[in-house]
Amino acid sequence: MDEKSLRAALAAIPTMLLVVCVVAAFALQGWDTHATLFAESPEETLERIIPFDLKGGAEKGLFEVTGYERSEDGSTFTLGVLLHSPLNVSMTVEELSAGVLVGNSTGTLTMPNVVEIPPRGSKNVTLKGSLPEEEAEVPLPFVLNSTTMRLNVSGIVLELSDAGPGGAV
Amino acid sequence: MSEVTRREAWRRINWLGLIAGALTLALPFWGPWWKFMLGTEAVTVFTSPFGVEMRFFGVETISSPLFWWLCLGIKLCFVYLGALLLAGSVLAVSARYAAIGAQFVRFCALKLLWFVAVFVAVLLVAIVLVNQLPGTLGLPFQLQLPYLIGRSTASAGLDGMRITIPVTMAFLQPFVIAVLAAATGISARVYHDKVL
Repeated sequence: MDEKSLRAALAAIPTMLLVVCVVAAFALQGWDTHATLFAESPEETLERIIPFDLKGGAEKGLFEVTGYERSEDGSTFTLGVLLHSPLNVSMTVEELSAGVLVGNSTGTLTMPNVVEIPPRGSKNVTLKGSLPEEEAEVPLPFVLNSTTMRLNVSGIVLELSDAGPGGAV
Repeated sequence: MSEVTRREAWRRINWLGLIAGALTLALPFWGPWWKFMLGTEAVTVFTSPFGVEMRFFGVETISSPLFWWLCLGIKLCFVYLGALLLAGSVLAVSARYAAIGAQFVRFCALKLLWFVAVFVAVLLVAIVLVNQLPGTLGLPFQLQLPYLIGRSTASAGLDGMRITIPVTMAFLQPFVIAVLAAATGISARVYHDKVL
């Protein structure tokens, strides 16, 4: 075999290998182009990989107030909150704070610890904060405003403002 | 075979070619060359010329039979190149087949370099395109992805919502081995042409 033929033969083999693989891919799928290109439909893929329910399921909202309490001397305010996760993966609530309007003053309630919510699960947390002394005697109800929340989903940080239900409680 | 002939045979083997061949044979089984991550594990892409493993929140996304078979084809091509390099390096010993061996080495040596260069070029082009995308489409955020290696953060805000996504890119150990195989391949060719 001369040099030229040998070079041509050497170059032809990788091309043949690739062609055989492509032909095998089509043959094994019954020569169906769509089935050869995609093992499943794009909708199925999307449904499988998106970490939340595409057909709804987020109607609950991210959190709901379950109860509140003011300390006897009126200086500390505690708010019970039930956090919901609409995601199919676990998420961490790194920060949750809410402003409360009692009388004419505003206090800030914060979550003392980082909380991890399981996939599509819920978790009870308590927000605590102090109220201005002059409002200690002002009777409830209060108004919940300026809610901020920082979520961490697999390293992606989502900061939401006014995510809560708001309104008078 | 006399002692002198045996020593001469050992001397005529293209050792650099043998190393390059062995590395090339092993490369398809060594794992991904480069990784791209959004967040810690929100989106992970591990890639090499032999395949792409893309996971979205831990779920495998790419499932194409054609792609799988093409990757298998590229793996087989690498095995073929590795085997040719090995054979060419050893054939230098034989007076009868030395010319064929030289052809084998000449055919394979630069291919590895091309594979590595094309792989890096494709990644670079993809990153440049992704970085230009927000500007081209008029999206309300900027993307500054690192070029091939490094970390950065992409962030966007809209109506009381802000999203921050850490981006990490890195070459992995098999890429270093691929570069080493390419460099050894070139050295093997030079050695074969000049010395043997």
